[in-house]
Amino acid sequence: MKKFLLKISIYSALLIGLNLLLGRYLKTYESVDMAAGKQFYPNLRWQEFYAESDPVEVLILGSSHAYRSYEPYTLEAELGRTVFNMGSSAQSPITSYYLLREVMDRHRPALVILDLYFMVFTSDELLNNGLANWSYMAEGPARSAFFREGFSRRDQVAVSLFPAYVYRKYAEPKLKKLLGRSYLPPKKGDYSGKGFVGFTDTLALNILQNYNQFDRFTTGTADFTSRCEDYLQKIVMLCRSENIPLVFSVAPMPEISVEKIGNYPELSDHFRQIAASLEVPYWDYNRQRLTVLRDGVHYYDDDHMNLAGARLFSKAVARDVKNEIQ
Amino acid sequence: MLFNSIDFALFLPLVFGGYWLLSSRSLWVQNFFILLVSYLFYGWWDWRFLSLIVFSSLVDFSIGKRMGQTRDQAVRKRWLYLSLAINLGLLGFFKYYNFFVEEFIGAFHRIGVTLEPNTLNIILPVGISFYTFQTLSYTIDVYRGKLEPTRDWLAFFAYVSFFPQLVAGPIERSTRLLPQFQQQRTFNYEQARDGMRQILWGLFKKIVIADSCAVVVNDIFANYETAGTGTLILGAVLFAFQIYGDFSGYSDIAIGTARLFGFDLMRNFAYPYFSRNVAEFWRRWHISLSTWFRDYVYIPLGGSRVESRWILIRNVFIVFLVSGFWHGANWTFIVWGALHACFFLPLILLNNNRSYLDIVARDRFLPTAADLGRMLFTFALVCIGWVFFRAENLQHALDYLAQMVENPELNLAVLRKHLILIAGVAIFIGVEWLQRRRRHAFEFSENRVPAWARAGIYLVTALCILLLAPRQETPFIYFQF
Repeated sequence: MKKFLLKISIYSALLIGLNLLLGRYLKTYESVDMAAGKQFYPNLRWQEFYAESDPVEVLILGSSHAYRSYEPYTLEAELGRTVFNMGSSAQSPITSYYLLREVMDRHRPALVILDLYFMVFTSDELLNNGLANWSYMAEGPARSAFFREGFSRRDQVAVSLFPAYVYRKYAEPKLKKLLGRSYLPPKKGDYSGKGFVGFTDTLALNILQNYNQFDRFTTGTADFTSRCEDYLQKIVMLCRSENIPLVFSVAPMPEISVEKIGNYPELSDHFRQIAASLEVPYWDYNRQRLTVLRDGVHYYDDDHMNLAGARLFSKAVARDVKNEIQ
Repeated sequence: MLFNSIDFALFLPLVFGGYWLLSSRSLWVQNFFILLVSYLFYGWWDWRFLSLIVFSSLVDFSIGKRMGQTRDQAVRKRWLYLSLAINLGLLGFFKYYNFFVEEFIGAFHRIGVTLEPNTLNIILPVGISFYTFQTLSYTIDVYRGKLEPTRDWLAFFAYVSFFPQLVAGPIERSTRLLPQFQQQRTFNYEQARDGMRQILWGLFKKIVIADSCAVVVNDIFANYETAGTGTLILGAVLFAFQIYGDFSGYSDIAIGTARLFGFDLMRNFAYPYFSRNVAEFWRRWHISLSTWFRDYVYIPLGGSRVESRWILIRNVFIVFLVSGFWHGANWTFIVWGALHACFFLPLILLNNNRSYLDIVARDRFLPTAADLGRMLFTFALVCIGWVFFRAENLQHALDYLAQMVENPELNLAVLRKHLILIAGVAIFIGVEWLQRRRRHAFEFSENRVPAWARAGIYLVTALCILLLAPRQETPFIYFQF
C-alpha cells in the first residue's frame, strides 16, 4: 500500500504542478486574440476599466446581447455621460451581481442597465461566463466574494487545482500562436473600446429564415434556475441600497428569430412580472419593435445585431434613458 | 455521479482511503462501506430511486433464500417466475410503458380509431437495465443450481449496488462477483496499479476520443440533409468511435475502479473494431451483455443445437431483437438489432460464426490483406447499424442513409476541417492495434517499456484529458439504457 500511495502521490504532485504551470500559461493568454472572434475581450475590457479615469455614469450589464447592442460611444454622444459596457458572453445574473459590486467599489453610476437574455437564466454554471470575468478582476472584496459565494464548491476545486482544465479553451489559439499560425479572429468583429464588440457583417435574410438556431427552440421559464432569479433580486437590492436607478432591458433580436421562438410572449411576460414585483422598469425592444431595425440589414447573426444596428438601437435606448435619469 | 466529473475525482480518493483505512480488518465493515458509498454514488444522481435498488435487492435476496429452502423444482420455478415478473415488470414500467402506450394508440389511429393518450411522465432510473439483469442472473443461477443462495444480505446488497458497475455495467454474473463479496479483500499493489492505468485509459477514451467525436457527430446528424456522402460517412465512422470510446471507456474506468477495491470485474470490450466478421464483433463488443443473452436467453431457447434451421433463425432473431430493445424503447434500436441478426445469420447458417476466436494477427505486426479486408467490411456493416442506433427515429436513419447515396459528394473540405480529430482517432486506433494482445491498452510489459517512458505516457495522457476535455461534461451514452 505504501508503495502505491507513494507513486500516486508523486504522479499527483507532478500532474498538479504541470497543471498549475500550464494553467498560468494559458490564463495569461492575451484575450485580444481570443479564440474564434465571437468572444468578448475580457482581459482588454478589464484593463480598460481599471484604467478609466472618468467616473462611469451609465453601466451596461448582461450577455453578448449587451456588449453587441449597447454602443457606448453613441450612448455617450446622446446622453453626455460616460458609459461602460460590462456585458460578457453568457453572463448570468450571478456574474452580473459581482461585476456590479466590482464597479460600485470604484464608481457610482447614475444608471445601471441590465440586459435580460432568457438563455442565461437556465444555468448556474460559472466555469465559462463567470471565470472569464473573475480571472481578470483585480484582487479585492468583490472578486473574493464572487469566488467564495458565486462559484460552487466543485468549481472552486476545479479553479484551484485544475487550472489547465478550466482554461483549456485557450490551448488551441495558444498552440496556433506557438506554431506561428494566424490566430486572429476570423470575422471582422473587433473590440471597439469601453467593453463593446461590434461586427460589421450582415446575415442575409434567406439564411436567417432557413438556418435559424431558434427553429429547434424549446426553452421555457420552467428551465430558469431559482439561483439566477435570486441573484436578479440581489442586483435590485444592491442598486436600491445605493439609490442607483436600475432598468431591465431586452435588446432586439431579428424579428424572424423572435417569431420562431414560439413562447417568446411567455418568456417576456415572466420577466415583466419579475420587474413589476421588484418595481424595476422593463423595456423589451422585441415586443415594442423599433421600426428602424430591419432583418437582413442590421443583424450579424440570428441572435445579435451588427454595428450599424447597435448604433441605431443605442440612439433609441438613449431616448428612454434620458427619461429615466432625469 | 459521472466518472468524468470533478465530483468523482474527489469521491474516488476519499472512498479509496476510507475503504482501506477503516475497513481492512473485517469483511462486514468492507461490505458495509461499499454498500454505503454505492448508495451515496447512486443517490448523487437521484436519491429517490435508491428505494428501487433496495427493493430489487430485497426481492431477489428473499427469493434466493426461498429457493434454497426447497428441492421441489416446481416450487423453485414459481419463485423464479416471481423474480422475473417483478424485475422485468419494473424494467418494463420504467423503460417501456410510454413506448407501448404510444404504439398502441398509433396502431388504432392507423385504422381510424382515436384513443386518448394516457402516457405518464416517467423518469428512467439510471442503470435500471444493468442492475436488473445483474440481480436476475442471481435468481436464475440459484434456480439452475449453479450457485448456493447466499444468507449474507449485506454481501448481496453490496453486490447489486457495487458503484463502479452499478449504472452501466459490466453486467456481472452472481457466480463470478458475489463470491468476491464473501471473501475479505486485501490490498494488492499490482492489481491497484493496473486499475489506475485502466482508469486513465478509460478517461482518455471517454473525454478525448468520444466527446471530441460527439461534437462533430451531433453536427453532422443534425444537418444531414445538406451533407454529401463523404461527410455522412465521416459522421457514421466518428459515431462508431464515439460510442466505442464512450462505452468501453466507462467499462475501463469501472473495471479499474473495482480493482482499486480488490475486485476483479469481467472484461467488457476486446478491441471489437478489429473483428473479422460480425460474430467475432459480438464476442468482443459489450461482452457482459452478449454473454448474458447467450446464457439466459439463447441457450435456454435451444441455442444453435436445434434440429430445425427455422428454430435456429428464430433463436438468432429473438436474441438480437431483445438485445436491441434492451437498449431503449425506440424502433431504431429494434431495427439495429434486426440488422445485426441479418448480418449474423449467414455466419451461423454456414457454420462460420466461430471462425475467429483469437485476436487478429496475433503473431504478426500487421494483418494480412485478407484480414484487413474482412475487418474493413465488418466495420462498414457495424457502421450501417450505428446509423440506426444514433438516429432520432427510423425516418431519420433511412434519410441519412439515402442521402449518402443520393448526394455522392466527397467533400474533402470537411475532412480537412476535422483533420486533427481524424488524426487523433487514427492514433487511437494505432495504440489499440499495438496493444491488441493485452486486456487494455495501458497494460504494459515492464521489460519492454522502461519506467520513465511509462511515466511520460501517463502524464501526457492525463494532460491531454485536462486540455482536450469538452466545455461541458457529457454524460455516458449508456446511462440512458
